Amino acid sequence: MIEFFRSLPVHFKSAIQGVLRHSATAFSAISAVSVTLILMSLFMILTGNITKFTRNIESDFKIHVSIDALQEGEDIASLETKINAIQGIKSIEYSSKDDELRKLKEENPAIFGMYEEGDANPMRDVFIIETTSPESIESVTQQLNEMEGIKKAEYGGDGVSVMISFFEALRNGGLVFVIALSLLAVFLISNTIKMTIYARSTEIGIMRNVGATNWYVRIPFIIEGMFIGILGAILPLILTYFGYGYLYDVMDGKFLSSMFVMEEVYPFVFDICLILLGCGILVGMIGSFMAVSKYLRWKR
Amino acid sequence: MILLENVSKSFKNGVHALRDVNLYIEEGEFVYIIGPTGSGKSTLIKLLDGELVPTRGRVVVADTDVGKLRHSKVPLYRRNIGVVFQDFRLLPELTVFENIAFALQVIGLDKVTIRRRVREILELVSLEDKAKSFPRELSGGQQQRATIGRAIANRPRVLIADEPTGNLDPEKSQEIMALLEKINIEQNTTILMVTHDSNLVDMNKKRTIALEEGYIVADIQKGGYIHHD
Ligand SMILES: Nc1ncnc2c1ncn2[C@@H]1O[C@H](COP(=O)(O)OP(=O)(O)OP(=O)(O)O)[C@@H](O)[C@H]1O
Ligand SMILES: [Mg+2]
Repeated sequence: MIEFFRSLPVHFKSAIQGVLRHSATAFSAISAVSVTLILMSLFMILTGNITKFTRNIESDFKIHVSIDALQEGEDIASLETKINAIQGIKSIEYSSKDDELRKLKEENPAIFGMYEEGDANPMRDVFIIETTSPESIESVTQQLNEMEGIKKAEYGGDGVSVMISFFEALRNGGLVFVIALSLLAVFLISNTIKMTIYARSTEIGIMRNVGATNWYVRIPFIIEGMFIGILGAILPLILTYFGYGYLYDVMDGKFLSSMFVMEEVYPFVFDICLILLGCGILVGMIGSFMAVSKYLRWKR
Repeated sequence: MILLENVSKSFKNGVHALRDVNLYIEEGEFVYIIGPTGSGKSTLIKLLDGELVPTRGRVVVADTDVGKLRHSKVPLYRRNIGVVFQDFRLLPELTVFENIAFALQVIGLDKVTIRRRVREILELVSLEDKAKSFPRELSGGQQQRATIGRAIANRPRVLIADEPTGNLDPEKSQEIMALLEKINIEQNTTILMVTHDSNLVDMNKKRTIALEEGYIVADIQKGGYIHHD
């Protein structure tokens, strides 16, 4: 262990020398990292905003519970208490069938104007329920549907839920894409570093000849990969930082309609930049680890 | 210190470089390995160094079964032995000083100790004025001495040298021989030295083992070069 720390300055020196000495190949590895990180950044911006959109839409979600004919010995108040016992309910609001009809008449007098309040009213008394989180909507709705005295509990319009599942798919697709992209970058970097290491496979053999352990040989290459990752992250970081700020200003903070409010610039871009830098370093380290491990096996 | 038991080595191309070699070398011995070109001398060195694994038999150096070492353990084993390679194997991007220092760095010595020891070594192999030169800027004989310096730097218990005087004139050869004998006596280092140099073997008589087509054909305690017709 002491041996390890004592050798660190030497490793750093030889890593920097490595990048400088093989500047042409290092440059192509750096470009590979840059391209990957830029695409990664685009997808993170996209998915970040999609998440935000979905959250906005979902927070508008309310469960519509139409009440069946009341059971004997039960009134609205006691049904409300029973419903309130379900986990995940934030608020519950009663609206009589006459209130419901009045709302519809206001929205669309041409169609609903013909209906009368009172006994001829086709509407039902309802509860309008808000859940504590969008995720619990489904389970709460299900539990409500199983309760006695409830005709039907439902949420959202079809359009909205289609949109949400579309967003979900886009987000998952983006995630898969980003992971695939990172693997590709690891492969590219590993290949590029393999080329720089190939030229040094004799050197690696000699190092082992004079007693350098595999880790001792690996470390400068891994640090070199880390440098490549950091250098490759510079351009994507700058583009992300200024690009998103610019986009936000141009779009005035929303996408198409005010229903899609964009993620605020800060701390969103900081988070993305941090992730990009981390990914760059990680990808560089893994790539060079793989490359050097291959050539370590080259000779005994 | 060094034990070979029924050791054979053949290569994929069908060449049998060593055939059923049995050999025991005691701690503190100084032994020559002689033989014509292609007789398996370097192969023997590579088996001792762990670079090659015997096809059959056992190679034991300093209580280590060298052929059975795991790949990752081979460098650790090498810290106990010094090897002078026929093809030098100096790191091309490092100066002579750095090359010798590297062998000491990897075993974790501190800077001050390393610097002191490298100076000492450079003086022993008379390369003080070449400390800052890169291997490509040296003559064959100078590179050879740098390699010898690196091999002895960490005072190994066993020194294995493949033609350490191959590129040196008789005067320099004698100097190196004197150095190796000094290490052999003062540090009780076991030395195994491959050589083609009949004059050197005749002048500094020691146990001499002759290889021919992979067989040990002679093992003479009092030495002297075996001449072929
Ligand atoms: N890696 C290898 N693959 C195939 N054959 C090899 C390999 N290394 C050595 N040989 C063969 O094994 C035989 C012994 O080679 P070795 O290098 O041990 O000879 P040597 O005694 O050191 O010769 P020299 O005096 O010329 O250095 C030779 O016929 C050589 O061609
Ligand atoms: Mg040879």
